[in-house]
Amino acid sequence: MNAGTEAASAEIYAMLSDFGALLNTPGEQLVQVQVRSDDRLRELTERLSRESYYLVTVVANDERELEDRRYKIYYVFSHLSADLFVIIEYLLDHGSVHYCSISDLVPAAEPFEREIRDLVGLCPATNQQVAAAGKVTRGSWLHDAYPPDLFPLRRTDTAAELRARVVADAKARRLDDLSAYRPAGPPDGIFAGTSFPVGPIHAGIIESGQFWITATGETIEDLQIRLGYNHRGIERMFQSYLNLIDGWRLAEQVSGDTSFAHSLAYCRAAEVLTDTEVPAAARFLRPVFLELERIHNHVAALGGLAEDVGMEQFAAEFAVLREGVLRLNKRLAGHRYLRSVNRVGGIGVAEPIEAACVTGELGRWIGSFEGLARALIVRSGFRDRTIRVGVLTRREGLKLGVTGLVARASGIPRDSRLGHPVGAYRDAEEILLAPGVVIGDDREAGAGDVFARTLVRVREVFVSHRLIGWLIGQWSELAPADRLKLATEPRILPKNNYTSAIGHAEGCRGDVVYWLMQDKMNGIYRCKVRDPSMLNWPALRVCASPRTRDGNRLETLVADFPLLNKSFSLSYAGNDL
Amino acid sequence: MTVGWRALSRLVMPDRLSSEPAISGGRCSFFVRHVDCGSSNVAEAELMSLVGPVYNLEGYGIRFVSSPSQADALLMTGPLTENMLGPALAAFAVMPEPKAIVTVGDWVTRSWPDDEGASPGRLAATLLGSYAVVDLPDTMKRAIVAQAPGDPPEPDVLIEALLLAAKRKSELRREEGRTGGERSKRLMDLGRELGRLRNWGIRERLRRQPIGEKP
Repeated sequence: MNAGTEAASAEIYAMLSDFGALLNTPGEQLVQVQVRSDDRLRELTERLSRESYYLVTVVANDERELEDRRYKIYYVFSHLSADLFVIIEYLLDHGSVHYCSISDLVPAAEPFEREIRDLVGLCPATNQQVAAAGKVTRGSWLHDAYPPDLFPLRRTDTAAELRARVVADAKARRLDDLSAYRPAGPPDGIFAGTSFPVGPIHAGIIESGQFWITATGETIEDLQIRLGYNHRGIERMFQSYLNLIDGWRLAEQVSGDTSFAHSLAYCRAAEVLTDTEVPAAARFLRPVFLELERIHNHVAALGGLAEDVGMEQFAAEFAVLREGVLRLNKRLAGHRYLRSVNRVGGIGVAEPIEAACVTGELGRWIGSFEGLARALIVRSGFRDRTIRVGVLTRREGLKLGVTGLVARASGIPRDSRLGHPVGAYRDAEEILLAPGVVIGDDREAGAGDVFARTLVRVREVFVSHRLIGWLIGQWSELAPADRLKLATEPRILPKNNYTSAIGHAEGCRGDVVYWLMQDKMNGIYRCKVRDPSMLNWPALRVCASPRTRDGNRLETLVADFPLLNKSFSLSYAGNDL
Repeated sequence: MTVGWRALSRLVMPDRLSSEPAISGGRCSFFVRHVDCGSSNVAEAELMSLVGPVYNLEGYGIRFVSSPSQADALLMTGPLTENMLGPALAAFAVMPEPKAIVTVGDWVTRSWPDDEGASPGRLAATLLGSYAVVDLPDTMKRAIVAQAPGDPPEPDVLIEALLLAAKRKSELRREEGRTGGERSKRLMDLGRELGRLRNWGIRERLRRQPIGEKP
């Protein structure tokens, strides 16, 4: 624990002990406090957000079978500069399904509240003096086709019963008459006359999601984002079908292009619960794969951006570079998207890794990338299309609690590799902060527009490349026996039944966070997945809407929207679960 | 400095950067509409690399189009979620006859490797037990002409599946016994002829001639 963390945790201990009972939790960078009253919750949330804590995730859990016999909501906060998680364990009244909304204090909580409404069936209290409470309506995750009283994350129905209900309901409704299917109408509050839908099936190879764009002339007046089309019931499947040791397999399915970050976050949570020490070799090699994943995703996004501004040649060259990384992945891990690499307790790769091959190949690769990236960011055609387009200011970013690359491009230093370093990242701070290759200027990289996000992507590729070099070097210096010991066998600890743990990993879009609670008999009681996209989707809406900031009118043209969307490059599947 | 096209082959790359199709025997004219039915975006990531210069899907005559009403086939990824059932059916409904579907990944057709204990099979089984995943409607199930297994399928597998689909689709057209099949064959012959002609004037003259009459 560093000095900053120590000071912050001493402070937070003093503050939290005023509020309620502090609970014991595994892991020293974690403070958990139990709160029962609404006023306490709101007071504490307000204090935390004032002292630059940000919301990481919100977990609603059906613990009616457990000791406290009620629903609970866990609010996980984290500090911007200190390595510390603060968890507020909020207890609902016995038998109640109403809770106190905090989305007016912390806007980032809003999507979570809608998710909780759909999946767990808890809603903000109606008598609450919060305007936001009325906004939490059903339909974001479970669309209208679902039976209205289906709450998949309540433990009263088994998974088979849930499925039977949906199927029975579908049979009653559905005929094989294809003409009966019409696109859904506009969401509430949208006047169909001036707005048009884009999606859910897009013109291109994109995931499913619907944007309702309201425009006057060419300017976007409002953007409504309707997601949930990819909802596969992942969280329920964790608790119904998988055991603690195998859960990473499903975690890889959450958002396919960030498979590794997801399985890593899951494994880290499971390793806390099973008290497993990861061997040194895996400590160095896991980040290698994580950075490789970041590189191929960033390069794909850069190619997409180049294509959207009409620079096909750049797009093609980025595609070639991306393919190079995917093939390197295949050689190292046996899978182009790094699946089945992580295990609880380490990693498993079939072929021994050749250090020289990785560094040599990436060395040639980065040379090509540098030439291409430098050429792209000085192109006036590219700069004209991207600078001051889709601005997300630092203040808005902080208010919305955005994460990952989107936050960093708005000048918010939120990076869990620095803020909550795990494993080899503890010693990598120097490399993460060092520019290495000077590209673009810092003012432009923090401006929050499409160009800034492009520039930050380019810079992060260089940082990742340096990190990989350093990690591979560290790994090769290990004794031969240590170098080949990639995993330890995890053991289930019954003492940790009904205990929760947090695992996180900085994927290409931001921090992927898993909140995992162990069940008896090697089971999973609850696994809450939080993809960074969940926090960043609302920012896309703000970004596209017209507003005045510091005397400047910010607005987005309809034609710029694809560019904006691509620069965020969010995951639909990761949000929908 | 820009890396030019001629430098591409010098990059860390591939054995396959030429305009020649990697899989022989494949030349067709096939329009595909991609529909994400709830995949974890990995299949989409792989499809993106297909249309790039490395795999050069258009070199085979296969193109992704933006509307199902222009498509020869729907390319379905993912297990088909309840929320996507409506949009997927709507896309299927506006497709011209004969309708055809290509599935990507192991989910849609429920065809996963059957080795017990192995993870993909068990995982697929769990996804199918989910409340949010529906069975493929019979009309769509009947329209499946090709499958690309794998999670995600390797690019080669995807290309092969698409070429197979193109072949099946032209068989379907012929089976229909309507003039459609014949006409499209004549059109393709004509197109091939046009390709050989370099002279713009000849091409223009041909264009004005009624279809089917050889110049």
